Amino acid sequence: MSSVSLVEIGKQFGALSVLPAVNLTIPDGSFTVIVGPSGCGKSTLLRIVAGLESPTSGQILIGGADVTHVDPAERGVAMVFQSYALYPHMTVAQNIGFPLKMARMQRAEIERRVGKAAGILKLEPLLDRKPRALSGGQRQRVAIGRAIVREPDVFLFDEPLSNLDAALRTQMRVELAELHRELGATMIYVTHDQVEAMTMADQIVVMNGGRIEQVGAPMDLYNEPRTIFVAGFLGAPKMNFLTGGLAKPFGTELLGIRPEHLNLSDGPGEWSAQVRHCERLGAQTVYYLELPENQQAIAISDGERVHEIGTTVGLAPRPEKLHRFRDGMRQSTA
Amino acid sequence: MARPSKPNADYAVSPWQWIGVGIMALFILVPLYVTAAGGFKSIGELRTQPFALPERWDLSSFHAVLSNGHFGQMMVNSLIISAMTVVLTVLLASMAAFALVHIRFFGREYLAGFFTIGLLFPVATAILPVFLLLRDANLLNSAWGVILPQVAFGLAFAIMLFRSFFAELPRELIEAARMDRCGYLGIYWYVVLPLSLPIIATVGVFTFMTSWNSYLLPLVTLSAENQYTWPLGIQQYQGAYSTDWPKLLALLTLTLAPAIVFFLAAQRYIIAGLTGGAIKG
Repeated sequence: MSSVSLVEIGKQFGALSVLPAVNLTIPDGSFTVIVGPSGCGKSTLLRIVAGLESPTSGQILIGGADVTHVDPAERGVAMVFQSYALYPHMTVAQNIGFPLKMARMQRAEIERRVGKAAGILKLEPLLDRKPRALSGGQRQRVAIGRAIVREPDVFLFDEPLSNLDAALRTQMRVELAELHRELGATMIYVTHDQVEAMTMADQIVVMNGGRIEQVGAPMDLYNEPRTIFVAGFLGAPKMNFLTGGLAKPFGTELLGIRPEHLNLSDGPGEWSAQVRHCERLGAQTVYYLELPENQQAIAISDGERVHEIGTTVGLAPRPEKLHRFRDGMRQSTA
Repeated sequence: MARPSKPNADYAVSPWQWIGVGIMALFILVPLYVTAAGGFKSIGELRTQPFALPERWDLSSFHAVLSNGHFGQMMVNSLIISAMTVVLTVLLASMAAFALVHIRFFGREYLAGFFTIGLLFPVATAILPVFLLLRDANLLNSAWGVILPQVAFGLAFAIMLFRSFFAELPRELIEAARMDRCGYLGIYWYVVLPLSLPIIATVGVFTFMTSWNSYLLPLVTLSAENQYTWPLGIQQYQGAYSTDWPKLLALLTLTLAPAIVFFLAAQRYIIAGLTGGAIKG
């Protein structure tokens, strides 16, 4: 059992309250991604779980045991840092084996465990190298290796892919997801990238301004965002928000429609819109549209059909995919 | 646009820089040359032609200095005192700086300020109280009587250098070590110290030079001739009415050698230590 529970966790730096009171349960064996814009307190929350930061109030339970005042090394958690934080003067093998050496483990056992971790992460040919002789992706693997050898109950990742280039990031995303399936450990992953959150998570926690906006499975959050913030944060391109006279006929003040749920046609639709700009991505085309009442929207259609810039098109939302909001919150009924 | 022909324009040196560096080098090299060459000259030649090469490479002054029974003893004394001062200063200053930078405790800023104020404290003004203190502690006429005050006076500068270096070590590295079951001593020993070679070399050389050349403190503390450090040995060639310059210069030349050797050995790291931020790798 290694679920993680945060009970009324608060954190203040001087007069500044970073986390007012956070309650969150992370199920055993889940891959939970905490996502939010920078400065929303997600990294602070992770550091509190790690024990690198102590909360001003509240409790942290790991596997049911209160670890609020337990030393980071005794919590059964391992952390992978954004900058990898490899020891520059040690070889890859020494880096991976360092936590075991500090735990005064037998040398033979250290070698066995380092070998096993290196095998999982395909690091065997690199064991004698120093970190500066490694590429970004390899350094990232070493940092993960250092976490794996400790056989922790909970893995913590603090934006581990943000220093990698786009191609490598995609590859590492897959590798991390596979690693999670292989180890079955609880993983908490902090990122500001909603794509990483959507692709990797069992459970997404969306944070904003120190508060948790919504917790749930990726597609639940995507399909039924509870707040405007979650609706706008998840999904790319972002959800369109229409107000005033465009929203009123649908019985709401603020109407949200995802770009892929807007159908474009040459004939008349719900609204008529002018194509301001379009981006051809091959499989899809993204349209930037000018709507009545000086409002804007983005729509996605398949790549075949092309509406020229400057033309007027009909726009029809898919009625079952509308999101209605009032006072920043989702309206339960239409 | 014509691109600069040199491969790395950032490091191109203008003629003015060459001239500036040249003048600075002259200020250092001319006294060194006069000292070294002077050891081979006779006193008359020194007076008439101080800057010329010796007419005859006469080794008698060097021979006289080396065969003086005290020279070897003085060099050994100086070496022991300087080495111990370096070891203690580096160890204590790095530990203090580590605590001041990486451990949060009440009064940390005040303590750091207190150490920094030590920079403003001239040794000469403290020499009488230090003498009384050493007398009461029964440390007069012993190597420790020189080592301990030197360490104490050297700490302020050394702590300042170590602090600025430690503050630039990535914080995540320290935190990673904490996650990896390192206590503060473990972090200091396994992570911080191995990464601090440049600053250790810098502090080491400064401390060594200061201690090696120190005159006032040994003069006050040491009175038995077998305890003398080499700067005190200079007295032997300085009479009340005349100075035996060739022997004095020969002695200086011989004593310069260990300091230069130490500096050359540590030079590679010193530049990295002094240019702090550039070494992040």
